[in-house]
Amino acid sequence: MKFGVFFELSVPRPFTREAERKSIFDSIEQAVLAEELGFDQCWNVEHHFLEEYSHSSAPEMFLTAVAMKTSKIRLGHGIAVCVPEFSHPVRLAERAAMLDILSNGRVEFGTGRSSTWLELGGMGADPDATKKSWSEFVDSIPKMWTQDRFSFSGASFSMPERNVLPKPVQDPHPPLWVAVTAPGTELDAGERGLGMLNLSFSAPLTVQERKIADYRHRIQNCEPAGLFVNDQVNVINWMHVHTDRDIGIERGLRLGDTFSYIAAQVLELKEAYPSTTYPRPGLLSGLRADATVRKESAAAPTERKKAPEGLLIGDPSDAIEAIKRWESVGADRIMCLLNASDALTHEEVCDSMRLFAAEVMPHFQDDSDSGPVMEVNMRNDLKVGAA
Amino acid sequence: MSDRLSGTMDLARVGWDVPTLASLDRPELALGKVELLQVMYEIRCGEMTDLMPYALQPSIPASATWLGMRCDESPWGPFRMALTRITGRSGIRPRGLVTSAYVDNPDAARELRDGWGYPITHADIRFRAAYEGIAVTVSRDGDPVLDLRLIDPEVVRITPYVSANIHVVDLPEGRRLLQVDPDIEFTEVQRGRPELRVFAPEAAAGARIEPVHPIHAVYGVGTISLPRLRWYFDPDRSLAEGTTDLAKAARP
Repeated sequence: MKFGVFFELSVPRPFTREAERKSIFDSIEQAVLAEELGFDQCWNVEHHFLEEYSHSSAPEMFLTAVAMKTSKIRLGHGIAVCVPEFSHPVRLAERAAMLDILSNGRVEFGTGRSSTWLELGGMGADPDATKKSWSEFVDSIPKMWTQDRFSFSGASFSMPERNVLPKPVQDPHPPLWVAVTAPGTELDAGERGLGMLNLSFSAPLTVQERKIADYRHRIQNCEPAGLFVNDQVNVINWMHVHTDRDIGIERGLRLGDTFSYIAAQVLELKEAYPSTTYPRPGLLSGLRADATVRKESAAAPTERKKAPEGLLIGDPSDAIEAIKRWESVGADRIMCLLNASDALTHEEVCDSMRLFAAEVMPHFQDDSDSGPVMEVNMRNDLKVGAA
Repeated sequence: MSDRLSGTMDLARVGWDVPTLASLDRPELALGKVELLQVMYEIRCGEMTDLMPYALQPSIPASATWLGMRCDESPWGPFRMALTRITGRSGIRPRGLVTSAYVDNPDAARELRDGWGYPITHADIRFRAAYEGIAVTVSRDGDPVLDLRLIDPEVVRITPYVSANIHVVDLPEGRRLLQVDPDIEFTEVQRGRPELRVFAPEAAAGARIEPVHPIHAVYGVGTISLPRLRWYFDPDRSLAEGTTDLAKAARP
């Protein structure tokens, strides 16, 4: 089991330039601390217009800042929105490759297609077309990274032959991931040999176990989008621990409650537009399920307080127990969500990270090297440099 | 810690005739042969928090829905209805705060107002479903009030999202928000380009709403069940503190 940190860059109201700056720089400090403490990845999302929830529209810039202050921690560029109205796929490939060079080969590339009307409507995207564009982008970007000449004619974009530059440091290219929120996306991930970015709080652990098993089964016979298979399951999870269990649970619930509140402000695609490709609510609804944690965990005064299933909140023993459950259902990595709209102070977040590193992570020592565990599976038609 | 977003509207000053409900104990009621047209727009509205009371939270971007309905099978005979609803949230779910409701059948108007708190005004309503589009028009004394349309319909296999209504009602304990969440079963759905050709100020009941960006138009054929009423809210308190669960209240 490996551990990482995950940043949404949420900013509390009332919005001020200083509040925005502080949120971003606190997160950079936390990323640097994460490397010092032995966390092995730092992920940063791509979102647009999501007031309070996420002011993180340029993850490649944030991660470049982190890269300049660190040397080992891997940099999760995600979730790059694979919709042409947001970015041309060439720009995604170029930016990720430049970050890979600047970080000396530390990029993990996450992909997705957005699930909010606020973003898709704001960019003028066609919601019915996002699954197709995601699929075309995911198939194309690894070729842009590895071929000297790339051309494409598709439904979401077309381009004549060009050499997309620069090329990434990692050979053949950074590992690919996809955010799995809508039911069935785990099969899309398995089909294309992509790592699965999973939300810990979008479904009960029994459902997560089935999703992961379906993914594992599908990926056995995949047609990889890239030049190798990334068969890892990476779980996004709330994390706050404290030596006083009650404080850990209270702060952890505050974190989840705040996140649910800010996520709930956003108009989801499903709620605004009747699209064939968004039959169910997406990421934010998954997060909103956490709004119930307060009720579920409310105990009578005589009962011991209990953290909701699967969340890393409470004291270190609670977190260890939750991680063992995730291990048992097949997770390889856990990314810790540390804060939401300043629900916790920067110091509280850092103290929790230190305690987690000191008393939780040693129980899950990983003897493998610090890079991602990947099974190389070269396809004849996808040789590096092939035209 | 963030300053939380909540509505600031003073419900004592709403611009429509608020129904008074003597009882909230209405049995569920099935309506058959129903056609529903929903048109949704992003709106320009100044401060979105001005459009809803404290118990509701804004939804970003600010939006509103207009609903037209034709019902051929009801206890009161056939009727047509049109609603204007501002999108807000009660807790984590989107809701439509109803600012106006028009009905063309006096018996249906009385029952819907007295039983479920729809702020009904009588009007002439036309509902026309054709191959080139669906149109719902509302007029009072010959003056157009609403004209909502779906242009170029295409049949789609989608269950559209129709949020629950929030009605402002007067109860013995005071002015409250009543949640009315009909159970809708569609057997056929069409989607098309939305057009709101007429939106007279009276349909907004004083709220400063300017539809600026069309989102969707959807048309469905099916059935609707008006539910037993389940919850109402104190408009000036948070949901956690001000919700009354009618089922729980009825239990000894």
